Amino acid sequence: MERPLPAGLTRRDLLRWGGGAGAVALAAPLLAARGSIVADAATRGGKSGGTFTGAFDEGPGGLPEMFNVLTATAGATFTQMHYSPLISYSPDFRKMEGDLARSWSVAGGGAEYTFSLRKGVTWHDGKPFTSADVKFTLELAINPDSAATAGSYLPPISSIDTPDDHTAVVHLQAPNVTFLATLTLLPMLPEHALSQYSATELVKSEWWYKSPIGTGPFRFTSYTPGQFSELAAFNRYWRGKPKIAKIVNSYFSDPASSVIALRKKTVEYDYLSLDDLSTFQGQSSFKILEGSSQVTNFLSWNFKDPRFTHLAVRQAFMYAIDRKTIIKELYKGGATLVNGPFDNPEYRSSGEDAYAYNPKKARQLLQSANWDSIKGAPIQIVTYYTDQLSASVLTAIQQMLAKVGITTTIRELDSASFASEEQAHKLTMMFAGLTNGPDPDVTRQAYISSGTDNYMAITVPELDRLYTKGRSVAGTQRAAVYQEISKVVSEQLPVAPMWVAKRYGGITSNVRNFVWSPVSNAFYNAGWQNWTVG
Amino acid sequence: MWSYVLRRIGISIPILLLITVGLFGLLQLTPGGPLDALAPPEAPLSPQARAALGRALGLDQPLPVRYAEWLSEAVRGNLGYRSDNGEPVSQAIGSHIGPTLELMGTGILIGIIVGILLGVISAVYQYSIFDMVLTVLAFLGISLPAFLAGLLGLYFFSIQLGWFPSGGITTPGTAPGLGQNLMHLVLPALLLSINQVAQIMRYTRASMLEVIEQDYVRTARAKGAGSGQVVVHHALRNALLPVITIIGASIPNLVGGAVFLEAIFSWPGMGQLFLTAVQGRDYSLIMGMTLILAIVVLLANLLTDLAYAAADPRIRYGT
Repeated sequence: MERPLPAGLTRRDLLRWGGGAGAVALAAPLLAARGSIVADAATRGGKSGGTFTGAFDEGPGGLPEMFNVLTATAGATFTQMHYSPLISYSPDFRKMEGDLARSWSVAGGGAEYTFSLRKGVTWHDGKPFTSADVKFTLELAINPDSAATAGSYLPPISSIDTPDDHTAVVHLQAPNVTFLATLTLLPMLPEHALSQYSATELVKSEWWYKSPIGTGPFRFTSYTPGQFSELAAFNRYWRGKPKIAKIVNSYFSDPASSVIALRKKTVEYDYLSLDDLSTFQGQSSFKILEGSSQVTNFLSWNFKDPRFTHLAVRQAFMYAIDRKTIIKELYKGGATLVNGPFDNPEYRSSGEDAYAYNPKKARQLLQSANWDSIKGAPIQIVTYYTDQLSASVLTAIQQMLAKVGITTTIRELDSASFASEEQAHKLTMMFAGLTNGPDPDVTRQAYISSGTDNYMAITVPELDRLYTKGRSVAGTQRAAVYQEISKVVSEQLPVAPMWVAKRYGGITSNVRNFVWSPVSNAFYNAGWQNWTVG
Repeated sequence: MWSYVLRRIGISIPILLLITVGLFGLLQLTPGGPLDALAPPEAPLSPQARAALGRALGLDQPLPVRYAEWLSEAVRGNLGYRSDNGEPVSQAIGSHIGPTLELMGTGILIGIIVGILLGVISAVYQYSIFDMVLTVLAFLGISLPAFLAGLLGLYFFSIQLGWFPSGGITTPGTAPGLGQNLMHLVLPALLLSINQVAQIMRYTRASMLEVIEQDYVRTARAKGAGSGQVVVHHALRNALLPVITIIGASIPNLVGGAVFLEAIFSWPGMGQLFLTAVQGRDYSLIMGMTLILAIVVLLANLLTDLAYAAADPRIRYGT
């Protein structure tokens, strides 16, 4: 799960990013993106060889110089060039497709998963990829000592059978349809190389940056601390030998530096913030990529504060904030208004309350809740978004709330301080973000009453029930469950959903067939073998 | 002199200890910890995984135990491990200190050579146009913070004019070479030296003007020594004493400037590493780097005092 910025900055980089929200015209021919993935519009072809240098770990999706894929919370853009999962998403994130698993079948109502593994796949050291690696990886991920991120998502596993080298059968303790989606977060790891380490040793092992091997399109060749890491084409990649000979992931201590490097074409790819776009618009030697962040920005209330237990008060917040104007004027149209946890149309409900801007209604609602006598001290809204755009957004929200009689103060914290206060349940209100996909179940821990990410004492029994149901049904039935969740969230307002912002990337026009997604937590098929540069 | 050096080193040890205790205590007061930075507010780490990560990083121990463990390992050369990627801290410092020494060394070398040269010329030609122009430029240089100099220099010389690369110590993905390294070094080193040049020039000028009026300089002139000889052999050597003090005292400032310039130019040095450490609340890395920095500052002070003796025969450090 990830909670990046409205206009897209890494949480790690929040302190470092700056720049005015300024006037940014987005009228330039952006490579249009519906959904969450954008492929460049260049035609197929291009010559083989060459080096593709990018700032692949810049922006919200990156974790520069963090190589442990088990503990990583993001960074898939670069990681998936090197490692592969059993299952990954299609480039548009609409469906899951086999990666190292050629096919799979589900039995026991979602409690037994049989994976038929692709034959002929080898690790970068030439050893064959087998079902023993699948068993090893899953057991490592669910071992708490490995501190694996995916471990907190994986449903309880009772056993893993490996009847032969190319078949793995996973038995869950209880049916859970999210298992497949969770596997898109988990790259396979080589048993023969890692079994010598204990799970605890692996957390800070040098293996991750000295001699890692995967089954991905590029093999790791070197890491120069503070500067770059390099990958070389893996000739035996199962989808075909990549055309690009070398990938260089360049590290920057300041995001502005990476933007300058793109401008000077020292790198051929970089993450761009909304403010950066004007630098590259209209230039034929650059292409701008865009896609949904799949991160829902929201305001949330601490329900231990009695002021927020009144539904009318929460509704008043929604009616008081002119979200359409904020999206139009501040995000320059680069965000989608949402009334529930999801922006994926499949999980949105026609029954969502739209909360169109209506300050008069907001005042009436506050009056009905006797706001003047319960309002107490000004409400502090805490955020970890410290960029200029977010400051402008929060100032606008503050002024809109003031108009209806809600007095607030804004407090910006760096992400570590924010996390510390959030986990101590010290926040009264926050402005934050929550990854809402690709699988909708990623929002569960924030919305269920016992959720590990529920820091604001949200208790909506209906949501507890629906999120549990969402794990046990499939297909259209499942979509209906999340549509119902959207409806309940928009009605009950455990949080105040605001919008889902776009994220942007820039590439030089000599890079072809490049497939990019701003979604950084799940693996997707980026067609690496077709990329060319030159 | 050696006994003096040993005594100074002996005094430095409790100072270093105090610094580490103070810093360790301050770090605990900082909001958020390594786990908060590694696994930000929204991180999907289960409480079990968080606890496991804490155990792996040694964060599950009581504070005094953690400090004692850190200290006992540090005296044996093990400064711990980075919390983000598990790299040994000493290895991380080892790979970043070279670029910083290269940048700072070049910056200070330019500062000393150009600063003293311009200071002497400015003093010798006091109140000339040259002196006045240099004085104005020196005030500008002193007033110009390193981060602003860095940004302006990057904008004009790299982006607009394209004379220099925009960052890094070498071009990513290419074989490292001296020529390429120098091309990347020139701009940040020059920008880092601006403040040094300006300060050293002003102090050299003032010191020279004072010395030039001394009797022994007048005597040297009266004895028929050439003006160049008088300036270099009689005046400059004596005028250098306060300048040496300034050079020694400016090293911590230079480190501060280097942090900004390393960030602006993505120079893979200690400054960049320090920023990463602070943002990531990487206790081991912050402790290790501060320890090294404290040692450097204490050594710089010692070397400054020793340089006095080299510059002034009247100064002797005995037992």
